[in-house]
Amino acid sequence: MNGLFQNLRRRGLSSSEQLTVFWSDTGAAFLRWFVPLDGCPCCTGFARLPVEQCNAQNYCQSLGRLIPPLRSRALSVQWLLLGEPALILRQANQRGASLPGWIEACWQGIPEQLLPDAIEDGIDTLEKRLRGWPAFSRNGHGCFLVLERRACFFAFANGEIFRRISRHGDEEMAASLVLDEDWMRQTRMLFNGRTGLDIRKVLIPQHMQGKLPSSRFGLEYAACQPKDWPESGRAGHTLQFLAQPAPVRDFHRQRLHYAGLQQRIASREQTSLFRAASCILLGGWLLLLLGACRSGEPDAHVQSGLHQRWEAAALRWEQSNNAWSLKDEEKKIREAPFILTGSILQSVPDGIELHRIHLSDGDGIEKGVLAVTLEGTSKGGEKSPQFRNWIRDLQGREVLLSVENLRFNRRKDWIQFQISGPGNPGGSE
Amino acid sequence: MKGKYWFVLWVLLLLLQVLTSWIMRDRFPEVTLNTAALDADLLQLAEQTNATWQDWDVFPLPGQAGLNPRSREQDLIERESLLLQLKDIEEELYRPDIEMQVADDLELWLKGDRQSQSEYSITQYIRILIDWLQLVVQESEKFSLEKVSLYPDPSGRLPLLAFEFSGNPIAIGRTLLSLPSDRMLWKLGEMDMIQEEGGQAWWIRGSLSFATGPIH
Repeated sequence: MNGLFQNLRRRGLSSSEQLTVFWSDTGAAFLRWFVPLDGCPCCTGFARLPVEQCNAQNYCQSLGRLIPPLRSRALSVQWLLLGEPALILRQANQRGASLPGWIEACWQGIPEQLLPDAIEDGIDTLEKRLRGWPAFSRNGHGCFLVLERRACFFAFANGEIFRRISRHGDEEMAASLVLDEDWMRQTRMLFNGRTGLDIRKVLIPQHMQGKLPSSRFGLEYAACQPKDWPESGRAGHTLQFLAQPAPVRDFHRQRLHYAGLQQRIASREQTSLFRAASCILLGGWLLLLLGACRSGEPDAHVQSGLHQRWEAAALRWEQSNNAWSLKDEEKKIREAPFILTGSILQSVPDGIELHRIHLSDGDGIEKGVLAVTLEGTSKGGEKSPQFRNWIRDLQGREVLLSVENLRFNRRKDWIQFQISGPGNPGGSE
Repeated sequence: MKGKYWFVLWVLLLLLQVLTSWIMRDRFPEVTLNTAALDADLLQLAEQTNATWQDWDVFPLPGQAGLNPRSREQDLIERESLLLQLKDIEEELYRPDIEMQVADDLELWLKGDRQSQSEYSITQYIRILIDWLQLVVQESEKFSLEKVSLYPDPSGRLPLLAFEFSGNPIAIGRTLLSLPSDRMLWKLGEMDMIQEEGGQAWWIRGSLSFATGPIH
C-alpha cells in the first residue's frame, strides 16, 4: 500500500482518487481507486465489511482505515448497490418492500459528511459498461463474472442484455470462480426460450484464467481482457471495473432514491452551501474592514494634507488676485487725469477754443473724481449749437458729471466762458 | 444541528457586513464631498500659478511689501549712488532756460525732517524719480521741460514733484502714460494747462505725489 501511495504522489494523481462503496446482500465493500492518465484503473485500497459486522461504527472505521482523516473531504464517495438491495430500492414504490434491516440501521447511523452524493444501481451500471464493450455486444455472446460472491452471467441479444445471477445456495460456484456446467446449461435454455438465440461464446475475464470449463455443446469459452479492465487479479477486481467512469459518452448511471438518505444528503448540501456562503461573507467582511481601515486612517490623513495645501493655495491665490485688482485700480486712478485731459482736448469742436484746463483733486470731492475748470471762447455765443452740443457730449459721455458753474463774459461777436464741475476720469474718451 | 449552526453564522456575518457598510458610509461623507478640490493635478497647477505670481514682485504677500532684507548701510550706499545718477541726469537736461533743482531739493529734504520715512521708501522714491526724469529726457524733442523741482508735502509724505512743460499736451500726456505700470507710481495732485496766446502750444504746470500704497 505504501508503494502505491508513493507511486501516486510521484505521478501527482492523488486528487483524482475516488472511493466507491458497494452494498450487496453479502455486506459492504470499500474500494479506493484512481485512473492514471495513461491506463487502466488502479486500486489503492480495499476492505470488506460482512453483514454481521455491518453497522455505522464499523463503516466509519473501515472508511477511516482507507482514508486518512485529513483527506476524507478531498475524496468523492460513491455508493453502488448490487443485487437484491438495488432491486428492492428500485421497486420499493410498487411493492412497498423495504431494505434489509441491517442496511437501514447502518445508513441511518452514518454521519452526513460520509454520505455519497447519489446512490446508484451497480448491476445496471455494469450492463451499460458491457454494452460499450465490442467483444461482448454481439448476438449470442455472454460474459461470466463473479460479483460479491454471486455468479453473474450476462448475454447479449438483439440490442438487449439478459442477466442471470446465482442464488444464495450457489455461493460455492462463486467462491471457486468456476462456471458450473449445469448452471450454464440451464442458463442457455432460459436464454434460448426468451430470445430464440443460442449462446455461442462466453467471455471470461482473464483473472479467472486457468479455470475455464471445457468447450462443449457448441459453446465456446474465451478468456478476455477489455481495454479498461484492471490488470491485476487482486480482491475487488471486478468492482474496479464497475466503479470506474464509463468510456461511453452518453453513459448515465442508474440513480436510486431512498427517502431517508435523500433528506440527509440535501441537508448536508445545504450545510455546505451555508458554510461556503459564510466563508465568502467573512472574506468580504474582512476585505471591507481592511479597506475601511486603509481608506479611513492613512487616506484621511493624506486627504487632510491635500485639503490644507489646497486651502493655502486658494488663500494665496486670493491674496494675489486682490493685490492685482488693487494695482490695476491704482494704475487706472493714476492714469485717469491724463486721459480726462485728452478726452476734453480732443472733443473741442470748431468755433470753440479752449485756453485753460485746470484739474485738482481738491477736498470734498469723492474718490476718483476731479474738480475740472475749463476756460475758453465760443464764437457763436452761448446759444450756438456747437457749444450746446459740446457740453451735452461731455456730459453724455460722463467726462463732466455735471456743470456746476458756467460763466460768460460777452464780447462783440463771441463770448468768453468758464465751466466748472466734477470730472469723471473713468469717462469714455 | 450543524446546518443550523452555519445558518446562524451566515445570518450574523450578513448583518455584520451590512452594519459595517452602514458605519463606513456615515463615517467619511466629507472626504468624498470636495473631489475637485482634492484633485492633485489641479492643486499642483494652483501652486505653480501662485509661485509664478510670487516671482513677479508686483504681487507680494501682505506684509512683504516694502520689506527690506538689506542693512541700512547698503540702503545708504545705494541712495548716494542714486543721487549721483540724479545729478548726472540734471546735468544732461541742463539748459539756461530750464529751472531744475531736483537733486538740491532732495538733499535739502533729506537733511530736514523726513517724518520717519524708511530708507527703503526713500531709495525707492529716488529710483522712480530717476525713471520719470529719464523718460522726460528721452522724449525731450516732443515738448520742452521748463521747470522741475521738489517741495515738501504738507501731509508729511515724500516730497511732491512740481513740473512745468510747454508743448503739445497730448504728446506730454502720452509720454507720461508710457511709464511701465510698476513705475507709474505718481499721482497727479493738481494740473493747470494754459494755452499760450496766438499759438497751439500750451503751458502745463502741475504736481505729482509719490504713492505706493492704495490711493484714496
